[in-house]
Amino acid sequence: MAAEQTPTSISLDATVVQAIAVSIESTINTALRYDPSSKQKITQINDVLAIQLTAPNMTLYFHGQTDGVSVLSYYEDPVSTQLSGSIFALIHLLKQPTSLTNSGVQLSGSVALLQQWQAIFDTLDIDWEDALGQLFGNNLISDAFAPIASDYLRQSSQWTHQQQQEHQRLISEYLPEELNVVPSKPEVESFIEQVGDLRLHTDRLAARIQLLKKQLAEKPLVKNESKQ
Amino acid sequence: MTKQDTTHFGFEEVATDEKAHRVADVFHSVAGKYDLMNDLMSGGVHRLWKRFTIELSAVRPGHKVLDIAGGTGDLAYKFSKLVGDEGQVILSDINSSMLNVGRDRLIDRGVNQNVQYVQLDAQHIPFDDNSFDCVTIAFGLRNVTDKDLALRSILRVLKPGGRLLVLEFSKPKNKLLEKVYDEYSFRLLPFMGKLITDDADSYRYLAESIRMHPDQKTLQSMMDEAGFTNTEYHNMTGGIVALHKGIKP
Repeated sequence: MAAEQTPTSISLDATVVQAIAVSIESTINTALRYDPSSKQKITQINDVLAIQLTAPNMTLYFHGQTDGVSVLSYYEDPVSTQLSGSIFALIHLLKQPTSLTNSGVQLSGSVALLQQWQAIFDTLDIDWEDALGQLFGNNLISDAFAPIASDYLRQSSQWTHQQQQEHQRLISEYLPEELNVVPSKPEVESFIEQVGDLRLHTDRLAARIQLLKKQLAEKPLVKNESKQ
Repeated sequence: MTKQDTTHFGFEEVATDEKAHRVADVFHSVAGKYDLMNDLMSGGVHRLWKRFTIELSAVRPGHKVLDIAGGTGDLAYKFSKLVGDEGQVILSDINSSMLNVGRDRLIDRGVNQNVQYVQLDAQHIPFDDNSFDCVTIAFGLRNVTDKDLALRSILRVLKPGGRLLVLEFSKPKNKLLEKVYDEYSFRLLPFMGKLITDDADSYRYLAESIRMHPDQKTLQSMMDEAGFTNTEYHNMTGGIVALHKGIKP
């Protein structure tokens, strides 16, 4: 099934969109260079996956080629699958690819194609040491430099992860306690507990009413019997 | 000499017959270091402009493509991969020095199956009517003496439904950017030209010819008048460069 194609967004300068596309394409293809198995799988994908960002407004098209992935900013033919959402929603989905429900990301077209791409990126394993060794050549300087650089990249990745967690923690504290725009976690938990209690009381009350109704239904019969 | 007999060569008014020779001299002079200068002048961004041109071309296997003013063959190289063995790419330029550089570069990159090289004038294209699926002219139209004649000539050789893509310097959308760009192109550009190719005049001409080239809307209406339909343009880098597209009905 072909998803409806969205025209290329030119909200961002076309040069900027090209730079983003080149950068993504280069990152993926560099990773694929060290993972021939994933590269082989990508060459077998014939259909095009479109990712439409709502903020910033642009669409990128991912296409498997014999020499890796091609990332385009303009594609005229109908695409097989389209994902739409904000960049934050898409990044979140990429990090935790569990379900699209409530993710803020809309999918149209073939789910199978999305699963194919997802399976490849899940297994994509990058050997930074080897990659850097190839990049700088096999000499004494590079032998010394490659492990240092790969450590730096790993540490950078860890630092980014820590920063993300720290930002999440700060946001979760700042919004309820400083701005008071959302309730704090204990307040929410207390509210949920109260709702639970209320539901329990309501159930008990309903059962009590049911019992009373039953008793009322039986009592007139007893009175009639005593009159006779 | 009447106004009809003259045209502009940068900011200079020259005889119509003379412009082609003067432009040829410029490109004979810069051909050897054309790529290096392009990278330096644009900070490598010209590669992104050309990449977008390739995307908009929608060229597929089996297509026949004419790259006019193809210079050092950046577009032709990409097209040769897209059209495959069944397709054909003509790398053309009016300037023999540029064409030689382009041919050497493509051969060095292993392209020899589906690319032919033709020295031609965009105003009088020596091909049959309805020959090409796509014609591109990147940073070349502003050097053509009679642009309307060139557009009509391109329309003639395109197949019905075929597309023309004109990648060319244009008018920045932002006044501040325009001012910075003016400073850069009239002061820094000739200086860089002098430093690298020992030819400040050629690069001064490049800057002047950019200012004399029609702006986005004017070029679009010229394409309309030549007979193209569905004409549109995409500004890039704030309008410093624009990519115009037109379809032959």
